[in-house]
Amino acid sequence: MPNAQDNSSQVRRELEDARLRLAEAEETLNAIRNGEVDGLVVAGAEGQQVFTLQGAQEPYRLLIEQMSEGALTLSRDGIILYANQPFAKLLQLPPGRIIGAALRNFVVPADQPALAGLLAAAVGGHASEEVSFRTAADTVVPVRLGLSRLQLGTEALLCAVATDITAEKQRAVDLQQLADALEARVAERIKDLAASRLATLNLMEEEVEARQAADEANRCLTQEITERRQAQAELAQAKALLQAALDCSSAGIAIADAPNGLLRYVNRAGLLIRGAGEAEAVAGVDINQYVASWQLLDLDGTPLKLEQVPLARAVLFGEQNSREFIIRRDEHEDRTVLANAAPIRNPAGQVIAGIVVFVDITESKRMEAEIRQLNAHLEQRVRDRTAQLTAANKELEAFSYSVSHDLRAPLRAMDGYSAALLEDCAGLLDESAQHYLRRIRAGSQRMAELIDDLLSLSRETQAPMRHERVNLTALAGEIGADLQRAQPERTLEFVVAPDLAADADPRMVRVVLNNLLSNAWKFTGKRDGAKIEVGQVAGDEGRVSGEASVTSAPRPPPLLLPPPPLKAPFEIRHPKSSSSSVTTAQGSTWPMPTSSSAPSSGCTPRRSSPARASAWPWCSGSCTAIAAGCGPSPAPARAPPSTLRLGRK
Amino acid sequence: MYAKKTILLVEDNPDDEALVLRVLRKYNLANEIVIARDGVEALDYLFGTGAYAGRDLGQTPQVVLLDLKLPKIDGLEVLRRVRQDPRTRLQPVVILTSSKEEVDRIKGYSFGVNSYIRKPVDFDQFTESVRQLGLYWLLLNEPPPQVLL
Repeated sequence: MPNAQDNSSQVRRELEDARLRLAEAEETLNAIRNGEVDGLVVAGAEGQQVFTLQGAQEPYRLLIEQMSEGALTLSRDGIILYANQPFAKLLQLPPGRIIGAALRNFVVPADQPALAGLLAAAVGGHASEEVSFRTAADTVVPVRLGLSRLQLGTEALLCAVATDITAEKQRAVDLQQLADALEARVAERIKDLAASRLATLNLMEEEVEARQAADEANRCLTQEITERRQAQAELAQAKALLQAALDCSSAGIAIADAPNGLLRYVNRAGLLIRGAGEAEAVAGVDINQYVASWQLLDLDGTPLKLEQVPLARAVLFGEQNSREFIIRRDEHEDRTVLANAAPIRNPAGQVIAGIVVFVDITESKRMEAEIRQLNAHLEQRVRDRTAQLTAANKELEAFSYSVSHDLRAPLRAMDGYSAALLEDCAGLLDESAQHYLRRIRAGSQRMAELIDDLLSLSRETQAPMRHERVNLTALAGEIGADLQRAQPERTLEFVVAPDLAADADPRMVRVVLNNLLSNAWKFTGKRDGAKIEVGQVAGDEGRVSGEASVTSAPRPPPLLLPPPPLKAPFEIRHPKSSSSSVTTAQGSTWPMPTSSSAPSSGCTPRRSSPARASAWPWCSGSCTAIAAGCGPSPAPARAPPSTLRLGRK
Repeated sequence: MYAKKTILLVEDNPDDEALVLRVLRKYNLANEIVIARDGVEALDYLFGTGAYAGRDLGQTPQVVLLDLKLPKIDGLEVLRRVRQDPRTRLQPVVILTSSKEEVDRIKGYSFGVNSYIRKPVDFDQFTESVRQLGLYWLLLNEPPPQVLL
């Protein structure tokens, strides 16, 4: 039974379909009646076809068809619903081929994006754009396409107006061509003008250059004139200066022509040296006349010959020379001059003139003579004084010699005859007479020793002082050994400290040490177990003093220390006397210079300290002496008398 | 042949002369002592001139004791002349003087003196000096041969 059922259903479906189609036809008819439809699109075997409803809105249609622009109605997606005749002409297509087609089909590919943007923009209101259409004849037509939204009831469509702007474009092109042509002409004209200007400029430049050259030439000329004037002025100035210098020069200057020797010029000083007035005319005078009139003399007073005159030699022989000579003047004293003359040569080397410069050296000659005389006088005085001193020295030597020879003879007679008396007449003389004779003998012998000491002192002080390093240890050792050799039977302790040295006159120091140690030796002679010690003690300011101390002497040991008054190598102060003195071995005392009157030999007295004295209580006396090279040192009042100290730095 | 031993003492000081003679005689040291009191006398004796003209020059002194400080001609000049003369150039000469001046000693020895003695002031030492001097030159010392004089 299925066929029955199928038929029934098919009938029902066909019925339903017929009903729907009826309803749609009724709705369309109503729309047409109400004027709501302008045309109908009918799908057929030849595609969709639009059928307009004649009579509807005819006036508008006529207007649309009569306008020169293309007018279109579009669906929102760009399908052409209506196109007027002008648009169809624009595209050179029948309207039937246009309506129902998409507008984009007619737009050149390059403007498709512009068309899409235009469609989109037009939905919102109005938009306009230039696009190009391709015609059926495959030509391109530029069009200004304006799109506007067209609201028909609930349906939104687009209406478009396409204006052919080919002519406009052509005009623009023509205009552009005209503008270009104008531009070209303007450019050409400008170029012409520029060329013309350049030519003008060139001309101007040439003119300027010419003018500059003229200026430069002018300037050079002016400068040359100025320079020449300046040179002339300078020359005049130099000439004036030279003239002033010549006039002011204290040296006489004379110029003579060669070879005739005519004087051309003598300056003021030259005339004055001669004693002549400034107004004296000299130019053109023969030098020979001048030599004669000036009375030129050699230094020895003989007249100077022409060929001896320096200027004449310069002129005659072309010789540079100088000479001192005397100018004898009529009413004035002689003047001595020093003249230096030289030839003046031209570029070829020929002597054309001679110049002499002469200086008045009368005063300096006089002073020279005076100085010479003074020197001679001084030398004579020195010689005299030296002779006096030599004579005094000789006298002193003679005196010493005489003393040495003559003073001892009477003493020997006294001693000799006394001895003879004692020997020959002992029986006739009582004890006191014999004692007196012995005293005479003792006195004579002591006197002889004094004389020897004096002579020795005199000899030692005649030699000049010299300072050098002296090894005191070695020196003391030598003297001690000499003393021991002289008296080998003596037994005593002789101690010399090592490394004693002093800056001193070695000869003087030897005398000092010899005297000191001899005395020490002598005054310990009567005692056994004596000790003579040579050492050093620390002094002030880091100095070290040598010390020779004598022990076991029963009484103050008198020492012979003879410092010379003028060249004192050392100095002694006697502690018990306000003035210095030295004690001889025999006990006589000589006055000695004090430290203030002593020359600056750097010698000052030193004494052993009280502590030293207490350490050596049996040393009842000491005497201090310093060798050369020591500075000042205090002199304590309480000091044991007679320790000899040899100081060193 | 025995030759008489003579000493020539050249001394101007009579005291010194007396003292020297005293010592020499005391010790019998001289047969004959000739005294010259100045340089001229000394040279006259030695060269046989003046007061001693014609003297036998073969008799030469054993020694000449010569003082330096003398009238007329001093001792060093006497010595110089003695040494210059071929007859006396080997004559023993001893300077006996008060001086011990360095210059005197240097000159004395450079002029060829045989010995230089200084007269001590102490008469005991003086005596001893002169005694030894006499002993040495008169007894110990052999004089130069006569032929050479």
